[in-house]
Amino acid sequence: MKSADVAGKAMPPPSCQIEADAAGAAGQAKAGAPAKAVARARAAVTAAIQRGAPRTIDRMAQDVAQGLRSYLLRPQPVRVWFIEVPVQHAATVSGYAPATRAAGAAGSSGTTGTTGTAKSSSTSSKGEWAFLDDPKLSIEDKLFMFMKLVMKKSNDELEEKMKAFKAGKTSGTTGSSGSSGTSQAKKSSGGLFGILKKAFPPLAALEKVIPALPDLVNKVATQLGPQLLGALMIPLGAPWAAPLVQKAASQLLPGALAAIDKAIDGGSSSASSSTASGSSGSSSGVSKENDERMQLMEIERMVQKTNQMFATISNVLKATHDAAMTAVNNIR
Amino acid sequence: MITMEEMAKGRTLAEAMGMTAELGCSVARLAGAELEAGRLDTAEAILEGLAIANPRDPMPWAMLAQVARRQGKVWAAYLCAEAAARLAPEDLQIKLVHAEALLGIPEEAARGREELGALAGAGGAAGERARALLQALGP
Repeated sequence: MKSADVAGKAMPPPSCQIEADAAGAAGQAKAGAPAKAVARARAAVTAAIQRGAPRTIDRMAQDVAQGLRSYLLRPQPVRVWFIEVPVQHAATVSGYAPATRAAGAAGSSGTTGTTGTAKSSSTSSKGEWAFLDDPKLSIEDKLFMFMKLVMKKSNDELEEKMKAFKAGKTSGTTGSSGSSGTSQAKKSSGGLFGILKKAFPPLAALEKVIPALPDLVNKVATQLGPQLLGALMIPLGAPWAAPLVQKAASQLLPGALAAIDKAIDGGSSSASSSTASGSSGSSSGVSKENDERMQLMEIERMVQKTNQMFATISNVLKATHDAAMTAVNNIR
Repeated sequence: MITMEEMAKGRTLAEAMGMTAELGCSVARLAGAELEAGRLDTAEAILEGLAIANPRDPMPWAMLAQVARRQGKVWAAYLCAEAAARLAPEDLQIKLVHAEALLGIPEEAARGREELGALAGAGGAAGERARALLQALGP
């Protein structure tokens, strides 16, 4: 074999053709047609072997291999489905404040303990929440202003609640719902699952099928927080169990589970009137104090959770702003 | 402020705070963007707050189910999906979330497949996703 042949210069037309084929095959492989590219590369290799151009074949094979490798190792588009909040969702869902008189709802429905907020919000409710209807404001601006206003209101209300608590006014507002409190530290038989089983009798049948269910439920209690677990009872059709489950999950008091068991056993009829159970008699000074403390801690936890949500939104907004500023700085 | 007892009677924290449905949807969309970006912890924090603010809104529950499933908390995902399904039993997206949550639990996977099968005939993204899942699961 001639050296010129080895270099691929003796037969320029076929060599160029082979290289063009090789490049084409590699390109096809990159473009996403591997079968076609392989067939074309195979034909080119056969032609190159027949013509006797080993270096060209070698280079072409490397090109094809690289092309195929890049095709096979290309980043795969991962199609992940996420739920989308439909546009008309806001019009159908309940439980939110009416859009027209958003702040008024806070004062109008709060008959027991929020008289102070009613006084403060009734004077400037329109002005305070007008930004929500302002078409000139972006969603970020609205979120920021909303956060600021709600945080202020929450702090004011919490402060008032603390003052009322200090003055001893809170005892008559809620009727000390869980006041069947006994100080016996008896361990509950089924834990949170036992309570859920009483709330949802079908769970008892499910327990026979899945023996590990009680453990799983107790694990779920740790995975979801006590507040979320309490709130979960509302859509699951047992709103009356919400405070009980929350207390059970948080395990604030040693005898909480026993008290809840007792409350459910003795007072399943009190589904809608947890306040009526307050007259169960055994409201000693200690249990009353515990109830008040639990109520206060409950409020505090809810406020913390809300604050956490707003802090998170705030961080997201800050990150968005920083990203935009980075782009602006790069332009400069 | 509002206590859990008041919430059990039907009042929500969102009402007490004057939080409108539009704002709730905006917050849910923000959480959805976080979820899509893979920041599960951030999405979870937002959605937990939203679910507590208004437990009657099915969207945060459904989205929480998706977050929990991605975190490997299959039972938590199931509970949240169940809550969403009870609030909006006719919503195709929520039906799909419920079926996916069931698929994550070995004992309930068959029921999940049944629900997927019922969804496969539906149109839209949910139906398409259900068909794709059924195809991926095989016979």
